[in-house]
Amino acid sequence: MTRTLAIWRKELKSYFNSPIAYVFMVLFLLYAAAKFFIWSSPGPYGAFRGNFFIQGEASLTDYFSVFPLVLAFLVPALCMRLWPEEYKSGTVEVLMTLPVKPWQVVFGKFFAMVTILLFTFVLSFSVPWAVNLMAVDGLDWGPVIGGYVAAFLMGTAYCSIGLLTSAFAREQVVALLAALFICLPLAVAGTPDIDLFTPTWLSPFGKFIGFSVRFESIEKGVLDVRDMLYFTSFTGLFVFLNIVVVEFRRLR
Amino acid sequence: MLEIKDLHKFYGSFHAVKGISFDVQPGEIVGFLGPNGAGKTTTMKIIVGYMSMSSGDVRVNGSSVVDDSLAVRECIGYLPEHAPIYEDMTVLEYLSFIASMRALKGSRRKERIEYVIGVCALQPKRRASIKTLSKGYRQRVGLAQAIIHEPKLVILDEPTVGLDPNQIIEIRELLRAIGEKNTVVLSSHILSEVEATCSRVIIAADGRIVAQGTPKDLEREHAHLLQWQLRVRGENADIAAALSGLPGVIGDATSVCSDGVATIQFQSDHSEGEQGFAPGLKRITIEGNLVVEELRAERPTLEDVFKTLTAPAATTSAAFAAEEATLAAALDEAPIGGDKENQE
Repeated sequence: MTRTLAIWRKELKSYFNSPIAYVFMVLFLLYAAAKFFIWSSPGPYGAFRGNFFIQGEASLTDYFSVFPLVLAFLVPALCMRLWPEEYKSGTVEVLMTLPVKPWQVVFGKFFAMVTILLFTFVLSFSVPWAVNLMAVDGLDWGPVIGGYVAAFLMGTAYCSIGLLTSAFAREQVVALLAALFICLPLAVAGTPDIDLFTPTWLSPFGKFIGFSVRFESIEKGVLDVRDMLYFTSFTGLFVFLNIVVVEFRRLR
Repeated sequence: MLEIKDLHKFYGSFHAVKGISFDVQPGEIVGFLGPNGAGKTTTMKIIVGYMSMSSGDVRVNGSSVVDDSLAVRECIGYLPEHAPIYEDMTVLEYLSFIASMRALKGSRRKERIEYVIGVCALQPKRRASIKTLSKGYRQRVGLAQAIIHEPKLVILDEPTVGLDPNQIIEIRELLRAIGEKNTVVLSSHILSEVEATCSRVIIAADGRIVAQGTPKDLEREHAHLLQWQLRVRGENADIAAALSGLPGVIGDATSVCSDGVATIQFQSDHSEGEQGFAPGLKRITIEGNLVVEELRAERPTLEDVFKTLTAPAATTSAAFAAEEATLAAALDEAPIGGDKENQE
């Protein structure tokens, strides 16, 4: 536990000593807020919905609706350096010859990413807070809590993907592209727009794996165990694979 | 402390380490010497558990590095080649990180961090970011990291590579200080460094150990490399007569005379000793009626030993060729081994 914690602290330090964590947070917060307050958020099938002010409704559904796709782009960029950096600078040789088990290293790195994500979500809370101030009857907090639970579950799943591809890759760019290659299809699979062009036999599968579909269902306040289980088991599987990969790469 | 038995490592079909065996006793400072590609780094990576071995047995403190990797890693301090460190940390942050990874706690943790900062002379740079440090300081941070937990065995891969002469001297002194308390194995291809710091030298070439012993032993064993340079004055005929009786003359003794002065080089076996050489000298000077103008012994340095041992020809001496032949036969590549044997 001490060692997992030490790695967690080391990763956080290195992310906050470099611009990466800040760029990630600023891009995410700016984009999500701008999309919500300024640009219109198109509904399913390209239906016009207008921005928050045009709709005049104290709902954050449109705010959370950009999370799946934005995180699918940004989390791989956040995670891409986790392992390639260690291999490139050779520090992995010191790291893996310390008395540490692979799972301790992987967990440390994974929780560091989750921490940055959580920190970003805490900052993003300014938007619900502002909406609450503007709303005449106040805000219905249920969907907001649902939205954050969904965002957290989905975010950790993206982190596990980013972590795994970075463990495979020697180059950061390769890790990024591989993670995007997995995250983007998952983000859009099963959404109405994509479902329209999905063969009928593939459609249930798309809806099963699709992150957005499950994200929206949790965000609406439907705390379905299956959705939560899907995200947590997805994350668990990818973190486990990561541990396996690290162990195998150590003993070449 | 460290036992290596018949260690082999293949990278694909490339046979990098071909049966290395050696022991290191507690308290020794062992220099692992060899030209690039001799298998030093590979051997060290296997000892510290970063790399798997193809066959053989490596034990640290009695525990196998394969079956008991965690226990072994706990009692080893390792500095890889080029001292990789996290660039975006400060020295103190980095050492704290390593201390946590080494599960150092409380007052002992503070004490050890301060101790390594002191012993590695990092005090002026303790809050400096590592990316701003010079190569010498980085190397010292790497050393500090390797000894922070008082490891029983310290493995250092080329600790002085890329340093300037002053830094090399500093690191060398540091190594000696570390060696007082720990067992140290360091690799190098700089001979003077090994001569200055190590109590024992192991020379590897082409994946095999070609010699080992104390630096003095190695010099003595290779005393046949001792060369004498002698300049004598006298009658040309006398010189030719006297010198032709001298054993171990390099080149033709009779053709080096000119104007009554001859400069010759000859080798003398050290087993006879320098005294044993005296009668020969007496014969030249008194019986041969020559005047000795200069007599100089050129001792074999570790460098000469190293050169002889690691030159390609030396590695295919009879014993090795035989070994190679058996190995090749085992690998079903008998023709190659056979060829080499024929070359002998």
